[in-house]
Amino acid sequence: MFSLHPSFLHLLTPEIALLAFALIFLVLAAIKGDRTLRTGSLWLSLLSMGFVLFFAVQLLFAIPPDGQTVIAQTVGGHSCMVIDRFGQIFKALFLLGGMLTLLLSKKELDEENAWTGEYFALLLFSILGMMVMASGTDLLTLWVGLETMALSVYVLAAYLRRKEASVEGALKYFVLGALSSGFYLYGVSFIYGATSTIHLESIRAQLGIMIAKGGIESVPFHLAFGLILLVVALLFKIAIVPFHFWTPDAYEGATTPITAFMSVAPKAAGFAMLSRIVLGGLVPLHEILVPLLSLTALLTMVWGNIAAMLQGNVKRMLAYSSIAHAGYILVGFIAALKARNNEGLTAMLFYLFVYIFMNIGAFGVVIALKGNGCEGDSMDHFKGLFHRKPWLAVLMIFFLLSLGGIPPFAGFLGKFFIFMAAVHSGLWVLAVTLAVTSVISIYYYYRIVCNMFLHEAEIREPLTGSAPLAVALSICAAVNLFLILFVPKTLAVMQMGKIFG
Amino acid sequence: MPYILSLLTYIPLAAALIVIFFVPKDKTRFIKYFATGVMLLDFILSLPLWFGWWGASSQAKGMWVFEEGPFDWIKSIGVKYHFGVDGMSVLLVLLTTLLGVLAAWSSWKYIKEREKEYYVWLLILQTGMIGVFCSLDFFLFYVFWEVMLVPMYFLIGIWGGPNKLYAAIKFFLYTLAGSVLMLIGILALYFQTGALNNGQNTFDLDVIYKLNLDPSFQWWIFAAFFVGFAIKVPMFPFHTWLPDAHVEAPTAGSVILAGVLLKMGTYGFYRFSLPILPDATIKWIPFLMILSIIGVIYGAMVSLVQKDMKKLVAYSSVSHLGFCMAGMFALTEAGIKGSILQMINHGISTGALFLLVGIVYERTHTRMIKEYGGLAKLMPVYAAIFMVITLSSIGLPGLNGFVGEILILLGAYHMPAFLFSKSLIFFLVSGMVLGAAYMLWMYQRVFFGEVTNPHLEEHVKGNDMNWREIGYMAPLVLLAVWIGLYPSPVIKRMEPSIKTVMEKVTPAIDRLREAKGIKPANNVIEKKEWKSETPAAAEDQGVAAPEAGAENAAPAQEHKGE
Amino acid sequence: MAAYLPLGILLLIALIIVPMTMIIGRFIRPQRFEVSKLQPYECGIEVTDSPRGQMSVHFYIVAVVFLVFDVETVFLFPWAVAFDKLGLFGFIEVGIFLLLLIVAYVYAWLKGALRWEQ
Repeated sequence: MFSLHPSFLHLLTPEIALLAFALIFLVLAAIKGDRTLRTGSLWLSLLSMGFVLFFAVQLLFAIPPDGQTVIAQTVGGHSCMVIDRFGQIFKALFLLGGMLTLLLSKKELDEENAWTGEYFALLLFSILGMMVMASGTDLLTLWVGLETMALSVYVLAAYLRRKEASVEGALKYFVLGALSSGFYLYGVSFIYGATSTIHLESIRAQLGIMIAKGGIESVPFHLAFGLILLVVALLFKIAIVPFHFWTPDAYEGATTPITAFMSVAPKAAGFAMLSRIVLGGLVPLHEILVPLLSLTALLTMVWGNIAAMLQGNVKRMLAYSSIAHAGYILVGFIAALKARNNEGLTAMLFYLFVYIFMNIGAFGVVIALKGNGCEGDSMDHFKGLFHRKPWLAVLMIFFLLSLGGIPPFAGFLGKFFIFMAAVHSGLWVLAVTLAVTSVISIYYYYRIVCNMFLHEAEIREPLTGSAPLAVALSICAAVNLFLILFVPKTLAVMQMGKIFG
Repeated sequence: MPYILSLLTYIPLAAALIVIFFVPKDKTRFIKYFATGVMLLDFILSLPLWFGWWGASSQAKGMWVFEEGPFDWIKSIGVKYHFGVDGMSVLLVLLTTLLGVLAAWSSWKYIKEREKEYYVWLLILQTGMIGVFCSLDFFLFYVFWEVMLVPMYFLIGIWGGPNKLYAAIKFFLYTLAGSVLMLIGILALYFQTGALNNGQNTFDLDVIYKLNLDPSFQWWIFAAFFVGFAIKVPMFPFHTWLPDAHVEAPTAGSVILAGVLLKMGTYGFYRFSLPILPDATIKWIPFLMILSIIGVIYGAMVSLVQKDMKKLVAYSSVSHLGFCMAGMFALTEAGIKGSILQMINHGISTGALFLLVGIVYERTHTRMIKEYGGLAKLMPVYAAIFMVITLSSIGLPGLNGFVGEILILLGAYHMPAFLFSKSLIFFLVSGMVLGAAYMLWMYQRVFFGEVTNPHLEEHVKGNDMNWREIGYMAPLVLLAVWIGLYPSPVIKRMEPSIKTVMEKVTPAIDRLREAKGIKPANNVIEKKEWKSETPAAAEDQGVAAPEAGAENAAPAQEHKGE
Repeated sequence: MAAYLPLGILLLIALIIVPMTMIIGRFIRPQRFEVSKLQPYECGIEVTDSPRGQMSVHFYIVAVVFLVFDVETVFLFPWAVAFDKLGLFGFIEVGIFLLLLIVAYVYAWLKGALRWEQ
């Protein structure tokens, strides 16, 4: 029977609040028209995200350590959403990513003269979708979250609708995203056909019984087919090679704050959903999934880094680098799947946390360079940046070294924990690939460093500053630089996110 | 002084931050003095490590003479803040602090643009290098190891020669590639420590030293470490970054590269590979020895044909470091002593050579040997100092190079025959001969003969080394002579450290000996022969016999004096 | 697996028949190419313009708005049928659902989606 006990409602405060805010922004945008609110809506949405973040973090510490709290009962007594620490950490990450994106947005929207209220409403909606993705425990709830997020992000990717690149990238993203959604639903239909359930827990139980009885061969073909479709659809979302083709175009075309957002938050959400589905439901299949995912992770790390080396456009380069980073994070995930313990998950969460700050920071510098008809996203635009704006160049170094995994920057810690998880669970090939490819990555990050420090400036016009952007960059830089002093605390928080008991 | 090591490590970093935040870019004179002053302060603070030896050793627990910590840092994964030095690393720390002063001092004139950045990077580099030699926690070690790459990249990339971009990125990528693979080895070790440490894995070296690892497992970790350290040393097939980096780097960069950075590789082998992985080391010995020999001969041969002085010195490093490796992997006390001493010597003499090349380059802006000739007439003081350093580099008795080389040869001679053939000695000696050849030939072409290049006369005449240049060369020359005449204080300091390493290595050798069915008697005979030889050798050459240590050294010294 | 055999056979036949008819047709039909023959078939009337004419984007907007309310009805219908079983909880839930749709409707209205002339 349907029932929602009111005492569970408070567990949903972040989601409900976010939904309310999003609706308010939507109506406000329609009433006030596009251009009257401008920065007002930016501050308001920042405030509301901060408010939601506060709730989410409060819940993180309020809910019992391992007691997953069921909040909504549907047919058969299964939950469709769960509020646990794992999900809450993810929600906090999405909101952090969203807030930093907002800070980056002001300058970009000024430059493009593209203020609308919908921009903020869509950001809130997409985060709402992600929050559902991080909490869902059945295949359809997760899908609803996925689509809420994806539809909002499609629109955001096409936000600069007068620009051909933006529309083209968004269209590619949309078509491939829709295709992957189709894959997902098709997979779900097979799974439902085979197990007559969409609840991950019962899928896991049934798979467990099947495999305990007759080994991995006893899983019927159509069920396996459905599961593979499901996993492939998720790999699309996190842009894992060979399902990454939409990424560079969509990232390059989208307006830069949205690119920054897309490269962190939806990616994190994809990993949240992947963890929910694979670690919550498909764990018994680890014998098949580990080699399969390992292969894709390997391809992702190799191709993402090699392709990034060939790019002349910084946004495109960062897009490929974000593909490679998804590969690194996937290694952490595979370690968790292989060892079936939380170590890999902790590494994954830690990396995602760090990744938000380093990647948004790097995109933030691209935004800072924009202005006077210069897009700021070509390698040449970085030439001599140190002589034009020393601090900006220094911040960019922090981000790039962090992305490259050089200590003492935070990116090193992220990579270190992933390494540790990989070595601990015996993923030697992946660990070595991760090591070698992160060396390759230094090569292209250093192209920018080299342009900034070792070349003379070609463009000499002063850069237009932006206070929120400066704040965002300072926050990102501070996290990247000083996280090493706060590792124990951060690690302790990330270790709270558990899936395995 | 408590926390002296941390102090030494972070003073340069703090100074760098002060310069960044509080000193404007155009106050170059102040920045120069300040940076050099801080380096000097660091050096002075590091001197107690040398003098305070006896006092400190009584308080120290275990093998570390100066120790800080271990304090918990990241408790949940067993990362500790653990600093410490033993007799061997004290020497390297002192070398680092000394070369730091000289590097900053020698750059006053050489660096003419972007001075603020330059000294900031130099100071940060200093922090990284001292940190590497002091860290006793693998995590900490790795952090410092990598931190040091970034400043070096900029030193080469901004103030380097014409091909600086290529050299800088090559240096960075090579070293990074080695070190990330090393990181995998470190982690593999880390996951073995739980059993020894109440189930909590740890990066602490004290715990890792107690590990008793399966030889086949050791083999793989050794492979990972080998890549990391061999690139840094650099051993033969991995050496290609070195000539590029050395040639393109500014003088101070080359000095630090040769003097300190290369030592990190040998230090790594000594500190980690030998004591933690003795069985694997022994299995790898033939391979390591062959690479070292190739390095010695190849480095020397390539030096012989160089047209560029700096490149010649760079390739000579490959040869000298080959010596160091051969001495270390002889796995005898004498060999390791020689190897460590040779590290110091190489730091002194090659550092000095780079400084000298820099001095003349500042005047003429060329390093091509053929453009020189007859320089001795124009710059007599310079020629004299250059001569001393050249002789120290080729190992003339009475100067530092000789002591290290003879110890290495002794060590190699007493290497158990089942580990590697004695023909090793032949190759090492021929490397020494070649070394003399290329150095002296270069000296001859540069300093003797008539002045053929009018351009040279115009720039150099009456422009011999000034007081600043003599000032920063003097310590190196004095050290070269001092170590050459009276090496026993240096050797004495490294002895306890080497003993603890040998305690780990000797059982592994014995195990292999048993496995091969060779009677231990062999070894005893070898030892006897050696002992009967040593007094003569020591007297002839004015060197302390390795095992006799200090007792012998003093009389030998007097003997020489007569 | 055997139960799916007919399905598999059907799939196979479908896969074979379509290309086969096309190939057979290609060979047995007479082939005469003329200008009028190569033009798209348009009831004998002469082609006047490109088939890719532009439609006002308003058609789509109206279609989307219609779709939203269409789906709303689809959801409301089963709720109405099972109303007495769902009770207060169902009522509130549908209330929330309708509220969301109303917000969307207000938004569309204010944005001018329902205004035909610009």
